[in-house]
Amino acid sequence: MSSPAAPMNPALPADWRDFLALTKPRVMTLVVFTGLCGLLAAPEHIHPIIGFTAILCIAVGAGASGALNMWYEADLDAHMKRTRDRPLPAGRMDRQAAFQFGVALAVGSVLLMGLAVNLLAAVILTVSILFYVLVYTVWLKRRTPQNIVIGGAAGAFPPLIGWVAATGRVDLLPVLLFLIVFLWTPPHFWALSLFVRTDYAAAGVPMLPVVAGARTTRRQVMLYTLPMATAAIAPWPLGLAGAIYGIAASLLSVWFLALAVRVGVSHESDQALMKPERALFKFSILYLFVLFGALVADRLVLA
Amino acid sequence: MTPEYEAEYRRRQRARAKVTAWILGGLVVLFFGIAIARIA
Repeated sequence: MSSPAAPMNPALPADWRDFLALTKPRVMTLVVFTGLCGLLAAPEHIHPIIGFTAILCIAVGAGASGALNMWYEADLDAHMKRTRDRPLPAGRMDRQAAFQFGVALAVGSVLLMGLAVNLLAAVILTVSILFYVLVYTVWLKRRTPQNIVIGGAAGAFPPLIGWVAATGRVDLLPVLLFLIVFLWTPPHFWALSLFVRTDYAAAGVPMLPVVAGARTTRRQVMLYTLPMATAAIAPWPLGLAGAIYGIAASLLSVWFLALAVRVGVSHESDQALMKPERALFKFSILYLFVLFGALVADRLVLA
Repeated sequence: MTPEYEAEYRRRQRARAKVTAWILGGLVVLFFGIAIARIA
């Protein structure tokens, strides 16, 4: 005689907090900040509500990119300690819901940007979402250790979008801001990947320390810091920013370079003891916040 | 379905409905603001 079947519970609907987690709110903070700085540094006046809408669209577009990234990388995230508690690998949400959520955010943000702000900003927002999802996530990340070098462009779009939202055109300064974030990404991520190398190796992601080793990565961190610092200081001698920005950019870049050299000359192989790498990673976040903050302060003083 | 499961199911449904309502309400206010800003 068979025993009565236990009651079967269908999967629970995902909690709203899991949808929020899909948008990578911490990454979004930096995206919103750099986008806002691009908008505030622009020489044109923008109506506060249109400006708010532009920043909202940048944030939602970044959230869409994050959601689609997590949808595509659910298998990869399950292998990494840092990411295994995300909603999809943890089994708190089904993949289809994540995909639909990501697509809805992407379409919504682009449409709103195009209708309420301007068409060029909407086009660049579309390019940034497609670049992050298709070029970085789908194409590069699992194939080449140069993944974050090229993929870094995706995170560099927000200040450009912010500027274009205010002015409707692309100028030299927002291109330099794009270049700063683009060149900042490799040392930032390679510092991180040095002390979480085993995580990336376990997931089979060909990050530079996994493929080429720590020594090459350390050298690359130092090498990329030089053009990054040059791009960061460039707006000052080019007359695109004043002394407030110039002095802040110079001091911050020297500090960044000093930390990068510490990482470059280190021979530490124990991830738990990699203090210079952690210090550089943390400082790199502060660097971008203060640098962009200084640009806005400078522009406001000049205005 | 167990009673605990059903209670959790309802709680999540209610929470999602509330968040959706807040977002829709926010969008209504935003669209109104955009319209006013565009007219101005």
